[in-house]
Amino acid sequence: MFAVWLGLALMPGMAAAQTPAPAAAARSAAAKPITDADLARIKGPSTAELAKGDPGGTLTGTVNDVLVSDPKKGLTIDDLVNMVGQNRIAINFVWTLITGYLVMFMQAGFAAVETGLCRAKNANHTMMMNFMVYGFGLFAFWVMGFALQEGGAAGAATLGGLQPLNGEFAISVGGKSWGLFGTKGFFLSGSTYDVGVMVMFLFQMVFMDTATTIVTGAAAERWKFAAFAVSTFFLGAITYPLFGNWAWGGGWLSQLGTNYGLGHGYCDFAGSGVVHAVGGVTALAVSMIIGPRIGKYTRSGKPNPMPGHDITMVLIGCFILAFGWFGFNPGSTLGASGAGDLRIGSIAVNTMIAGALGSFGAILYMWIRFGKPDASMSGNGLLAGLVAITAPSGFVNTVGAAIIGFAAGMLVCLSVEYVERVMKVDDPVGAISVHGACGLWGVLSVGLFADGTSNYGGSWNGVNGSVTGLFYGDPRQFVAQLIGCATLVGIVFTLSYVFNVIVDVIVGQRVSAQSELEGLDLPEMGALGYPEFQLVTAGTGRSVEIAAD
Amino acid sequence: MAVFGWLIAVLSVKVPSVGVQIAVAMAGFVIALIGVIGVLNGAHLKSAIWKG
Repeated sequence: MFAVWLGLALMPGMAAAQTPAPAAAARSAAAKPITDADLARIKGPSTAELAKGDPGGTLTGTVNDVLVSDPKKGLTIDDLVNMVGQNRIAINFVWTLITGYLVMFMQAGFAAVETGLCRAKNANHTMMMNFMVYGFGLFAFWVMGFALQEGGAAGAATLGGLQPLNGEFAISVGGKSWGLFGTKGFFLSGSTYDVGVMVMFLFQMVFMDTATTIVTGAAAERWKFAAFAVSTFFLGAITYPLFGNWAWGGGWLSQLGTNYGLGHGYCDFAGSGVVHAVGGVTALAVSMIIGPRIGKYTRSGKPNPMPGHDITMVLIGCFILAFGWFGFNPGSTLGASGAGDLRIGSIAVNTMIAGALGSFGAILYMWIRFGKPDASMSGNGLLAGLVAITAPSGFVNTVGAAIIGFAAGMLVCLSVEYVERVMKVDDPVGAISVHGACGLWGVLSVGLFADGTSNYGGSWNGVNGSVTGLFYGDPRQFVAQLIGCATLVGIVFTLSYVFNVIVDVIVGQRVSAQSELEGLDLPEMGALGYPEFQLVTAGTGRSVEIAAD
Repeated sequence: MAVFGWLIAVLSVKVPSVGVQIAVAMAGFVIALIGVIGVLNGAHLKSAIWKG
């Protein structure tokens, strides 16, 4: 039996060992230069052959399908090379767009998670915030957010270079140039009316929208809709794009490697910091300003549980998010062809493992601490693992991903308790912990677990070689990550806090006590989420909401 | 205090020893955190609605 198993196990290896022979032969053949005359001898299937149909797929996709620039000359080397280039960029465009569509669908997951974790009397309001964050955020990003973030990001070879994005405002400090924000791409007009820029915009826009939707969860059940709209616009137009530029758009955090030798500068592969921690610290700022829901804390400061109304909606939302994350992380290569982008398989598996281990860490914590496997925290554990692996997903191996995810699952439980009981900040969905705390952990974990095997075109942030963390020999990478975390807490939080205080003064962030007690669906949205049901508080049988007149 | 913490972390780039660099950057990060979740949040808690 063992011999049979051993034979089966070795067979793939034997097959793999045989593969170099044809490869060597191909290399030998490649040594002879190909000429236009060689190409002219290649004949595809005739029209008559094709008319018979191609059930085996061997006649479709041949030399007949290579575009010829001059029919008189026929197929030339130039045609062939241009076709190869176009195909590579086409693969990368399609990859980036489809993964962007997956990320866009995460909005549905967020909507389900947040609405399910809120009380039924606020279902319409919570769902509408998640719905309209897409429109408000997109508008802000199109007007100016994208330009500030990516206006100086020219050089993304996987998308054809993005050369129209060649404007970065920088200052000189200590004799070195530090990028602060981009200056090209407002309204996607002028030279940025470009196919590659459009792909980049779509992908970056859905990422930004993910950050803005984080805030709606933490501020749910008491946030005035008008204030939410203004706050979301600012986050999508200024706060998020600024940090996005510093990390991804060629800004000063990404330059810490070239300017000061701190590894490869701040590295955040898919946005634990740029997306999740930015959303998380903004959620904290808004929650602190708005204050907790009525009844959340007793006069002595003891928290009261306020369970959500639909745990099935929550867990389905978590699965939608986990599915969308396969766009979030692997899509951040911005391509699938060339420049080390075949690492997408590794990135997807890291994402899968960290999410699963995150839910495992959370369920273990809750089971040990409270004696029951908590459903909502299991869901938050899954999201915590996914958030944490977002930054390191492109740089770590599966063991690192497992450790990062499991730790995030534990961390989110500790953080939720800390935020609720010690800080006394009311966060109905745990967004501050899932996205803020675990986002910061994800950023730091790059500086610890990056294993130095990734190779995205030979360099990252202008520094040659692979991103390598403290445990694999580069302690300076960890310094860059710490500076990134300090920026998220010290600058991004402060910016969000100051702006939302201004919104509070001018618009007013919080709904009236009467509206809050009644539920926000009617006062804020004009319609109940569940008009045919009489809603009661769990365990009391007391009606808390009166049906519409 | 949060901004001050950030400033300390950024100034770590000037420190020659990598060990000290990590310590300074971490100190800056922790100071920024304390500024937000300790000092600022503490100020908010003084006028929390549940105390009224």
